Amino acid sequence: METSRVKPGFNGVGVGMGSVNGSSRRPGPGYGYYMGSGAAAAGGGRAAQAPVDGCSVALRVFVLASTLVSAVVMGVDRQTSTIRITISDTLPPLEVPLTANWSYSSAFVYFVVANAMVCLFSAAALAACRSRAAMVPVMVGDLLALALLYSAVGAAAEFGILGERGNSHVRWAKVCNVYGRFCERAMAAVIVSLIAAFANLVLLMLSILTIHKSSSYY
Amino acid sequence: MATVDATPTAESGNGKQAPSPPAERRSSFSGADLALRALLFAVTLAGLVVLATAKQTALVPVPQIPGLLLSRPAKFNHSPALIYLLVALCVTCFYSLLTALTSLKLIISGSSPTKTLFLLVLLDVLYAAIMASATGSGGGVAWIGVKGNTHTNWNKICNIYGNFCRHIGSSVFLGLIASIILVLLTILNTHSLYRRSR
Repeated sequence: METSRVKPGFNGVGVGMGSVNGSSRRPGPGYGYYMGSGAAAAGGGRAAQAPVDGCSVALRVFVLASTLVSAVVMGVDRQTSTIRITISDTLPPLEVPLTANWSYSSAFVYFVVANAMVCLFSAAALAACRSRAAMVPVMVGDLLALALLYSAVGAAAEFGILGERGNSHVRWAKVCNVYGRFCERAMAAVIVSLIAAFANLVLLMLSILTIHKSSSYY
Repeated sequence: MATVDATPTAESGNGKQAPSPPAERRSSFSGADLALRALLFAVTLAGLVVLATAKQTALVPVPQIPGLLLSRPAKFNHSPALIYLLVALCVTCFYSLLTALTSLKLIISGSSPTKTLFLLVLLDVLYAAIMASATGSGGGVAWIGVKGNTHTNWNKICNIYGNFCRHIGSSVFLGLIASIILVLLTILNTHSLYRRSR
C-alpha cells in the first residue's frame, strides 16, 4: 500500500510493522515522540541494537588493517648505508656508515602515533558497532580520526617530498639518493595511510547518509 | 483499509505539529552555524593574507666562502607544502563565503531542508579533510624551519628569516583553527540531522 512508497515512520503502518516483525529499517522513534508514548515504547524496545551495515563494517576493517600496516611499515623502517668521502686523491676514500631511522624525523613520529591511534579507535568502534548508544560518539571519533589521519599524511608526505627533492632555496639537500630503500618504504607507508584516510572519509559519509535517510523529514 | 485512511491524517498531523517543538532550537542552531561560517571566512582570509605576505630578504652566510654574506629572499612559494596550504586556504575561504550565504538564506526563509543540510555536512567533511592535510604539511615544513633536522643536515632557517617564520607560523595556526571550526560545523550539522532522525 502506501508503505512501499512512503518512508516507514511517517505513518502508523510503518511503526506497527516495524515493531512486530522488525523488517523495516527504522521503527521511527521520532514518530513516537510526536504521536504518543505507546509508539515510543514500541520503538524503544529495539533501540539498544543498531542495524549493522555490512559495507561500513568492511570499510572499518579495511581502515583498521591499513593503518596497522602503515604504522608497522613506518615503525620498522630503518636503513644503514655507507657513503664514501674522498678527502684527497692520494688517500683511499673514507667509508662512513650512516643510519636513517624513522624516529629521526618528528613528522614520521607523528605519523606512526596518529596511525596507531586511528587503528586502536577503529578496533574500539568495531567492537561497539552494534550498540545504538555508541553511534554518535563513534561518529565524532571518526571525524577526529579523519582529521588526525589527514594531517599525519600531510606532514609525512611533506617530509618525504623534502627528502626526495630537497629545497635549494634554504639549502636542504635531498637525502633519498643515499637512503633509497628507506624512502621507498616511507612513501609506501604514506600511500597506504592515504588510502586508509580516503576509506575513512567514505565511511563517515556513509554514516552521515544513514542518518540522513533515517531523518523524518526525508 | 483503516490504515490507508489514517495515513494522510498522520502525515498532515506530522507536518503541522512536528516542527513546532524543535523549531526554536533549530533556528538557534542555524544562527550558530552562520556565526561559525562567518568566523571560518574571517580566519581563512586572515591566514591567506598572512601567508601571501610572507616574504623576507635576509643576509645569508655562504658556507663555501666564510665571511661573505649574500642577500637571499625567502618566499612562501619556495616550498610546495606552503603553496598547498595557500591553495587550501583560498578554496576554503570561497567555500565558507558561499555556505555562509546559503546559511543566511536558510535563516531568512525560515526553513532548513534536510537535503541542503546533508550536502553541507558532506562538503564540510571534505573541506575539513583538505584543511587538516594542508595544516599537517605546512606545520611539518614550519617545524623543520624552526628546529632543523641534524640527522639529514637541514639547518634551521628561523634564526635568519625571523619575520618570515612568524608569518608562516601564524598562517599554520590559523589553518589549524579553520580545520577545528570545520570539524565543529560538521558535528553541529550532523547533530541537527541526527535529532530529526529520532
